[in-house]
Amino acid sequence: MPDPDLVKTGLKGLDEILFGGIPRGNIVLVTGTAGTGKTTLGVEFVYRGARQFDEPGVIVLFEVASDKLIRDAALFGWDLGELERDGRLKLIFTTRQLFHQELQQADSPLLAEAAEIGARRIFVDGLVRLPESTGGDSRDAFHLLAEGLHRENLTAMLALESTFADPAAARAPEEFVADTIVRLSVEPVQRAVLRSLEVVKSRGHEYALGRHSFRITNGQGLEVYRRVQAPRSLQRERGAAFDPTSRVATGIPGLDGLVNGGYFVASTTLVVGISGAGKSVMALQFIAEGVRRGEKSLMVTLDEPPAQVLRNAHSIGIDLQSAIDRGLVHLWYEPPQEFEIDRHFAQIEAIVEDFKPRRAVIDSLSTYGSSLGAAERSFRDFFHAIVALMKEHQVTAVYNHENPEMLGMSSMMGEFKVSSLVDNIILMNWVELGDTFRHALTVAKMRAMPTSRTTHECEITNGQGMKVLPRPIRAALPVVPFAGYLGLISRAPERRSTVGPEVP
Amino acid sequence: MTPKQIGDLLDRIGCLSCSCDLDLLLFFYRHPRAFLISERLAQYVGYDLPQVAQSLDTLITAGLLQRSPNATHPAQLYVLARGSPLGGWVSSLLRVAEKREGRLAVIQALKQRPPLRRSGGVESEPVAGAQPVPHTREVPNA
Repeated sequence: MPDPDLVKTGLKGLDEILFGGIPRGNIVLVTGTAGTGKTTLGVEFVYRGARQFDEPGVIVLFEVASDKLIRDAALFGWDLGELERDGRLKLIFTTRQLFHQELQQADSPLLAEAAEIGARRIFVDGLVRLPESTGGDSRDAFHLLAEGLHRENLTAMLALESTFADPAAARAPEEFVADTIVRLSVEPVQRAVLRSLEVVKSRGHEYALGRHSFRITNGQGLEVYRRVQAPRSLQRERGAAFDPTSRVATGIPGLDGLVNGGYFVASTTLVVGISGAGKSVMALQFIAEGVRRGEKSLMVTLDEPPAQVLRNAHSIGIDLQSAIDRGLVHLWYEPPQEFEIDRHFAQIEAIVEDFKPRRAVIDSLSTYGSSLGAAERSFRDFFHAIVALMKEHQVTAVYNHENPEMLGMSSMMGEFKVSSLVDNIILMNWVELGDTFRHALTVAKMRAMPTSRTTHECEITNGQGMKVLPRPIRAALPVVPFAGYLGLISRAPERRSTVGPEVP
Repeated sequence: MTPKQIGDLLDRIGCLSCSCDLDLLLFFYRHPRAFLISERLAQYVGYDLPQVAQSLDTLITAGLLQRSPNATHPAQLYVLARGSPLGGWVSSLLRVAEKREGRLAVIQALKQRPPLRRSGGVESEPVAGAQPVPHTREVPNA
């Protein structure tokens, strides 16, 4: 079966969701309440067509004056006036009634206008449903309109106003006639709002289901971000192009020995610990090790702005600025307030694809949890997506996660139910000895590698960073077999009064 | 712009003689390509139909406006002629008249001009009951 002739919308991110574009000749119904972005989407569809794809277009307006549309489009950098002067665009002001009548005329002057410039696209702004109280048959009227547009071989985008925020209530009879339906909405999220776009149906091709978020940005227009949960089309050849047994040095003196020479390439490592336990220091040293080896590294920081990260790095003897200047490190900061997770993920994806890092650090995972709601499905889906992205691009990734509890394996992941997704877990902790808290590190999980799970003392020194001291912290009492303890399952073992022989 | 300068502009344009001429021109300045029936056009600008018809003829004759050739069709396509020889003067005038005070000043200047010879002789007064009048435009003597 031949591939359909797809009309690229040219809108950033939208063609990806439409798996390439809209089948030529489709009638696309764009629905949404006031202010959801229908006009911007339709105007950009025609603008991009004329500008980028040599497809002249017509915009039909019922209420908005052409000069206002031209003025508003200029905010996005779209010079509609120039396109009009070049004969690639016509803005036509008319009435809904006339427009409907004209599409039923074989020799309509209005449609002749479109034909005169060889229009391939048309956007009709401001269609409304015929009120049922007047006996109007919306479906039939829309069918006549669609037939007229088909006759002219135009790929049409029609903005249909909806007064219902609830999509179920907003379902219009026109939707059964249209070939493609794009539903726009603005949803309140706490005290912010989130724009979303959903392709409800599209005849003649596949598309990405679900509600994707989008933004309208001055100087650019619409940018659609595929919802982070949407399955990624993994590039299998990428996965086959590396040796999964090769290792990546951690950059922490003494740690590589505990993890059999380093993390596996493309593995996912979670560094868990309370605040101040040394997670960010470890992350910086992981990045610095990459720099030392000439490998590109990405550092995503959510908790600390770049200046603070640079200062922290300097304090442990790492010249991060120089590595950034040499193009070996990409330091990307996004404040966690009002996360738009689809957009955030799209930005990370773009950086990974363009910058091609070999190492990545996300500092910290707990901030995503705070912003998205740790118990929410969206957090787990996001983490799943980012792990898949890093693995696809063979990026060895370290995720910091702050755990407010000091002790206990059961609390290691707290409410973040993502431990099954990670390959390695390193638990950072404080150990109180005398009057001092000392750093302790336990390799709690190493997928496909043996690990002793013994706790090791660490040391962080100004100007040098962290190192794992060469021997494990000696247990206060000799270790005996399980039979020598009570309360093992409760994870609060007590030694029996009579103990067996010490384990060698 | 002073009344004298407005008068000079009107002299150079030559064809405008009443507020309906001006308001139609302003309408097409905002909607340079409009496909409408004349009744609807009259509603948009707020004048009666004969007056609008006469002003349309004035603008078309002066080369400021083009109308689709199919006169039998109930709706007509009107296209503002951007490249007319008078275009520069018209643009200057419309930039003044697109603001409320400027429009009133131009209408005042039109009233003070000697009447131009035009066929039909319909009075240039807005229709009191015309609905709807866009943007609550004020007209002299209204």
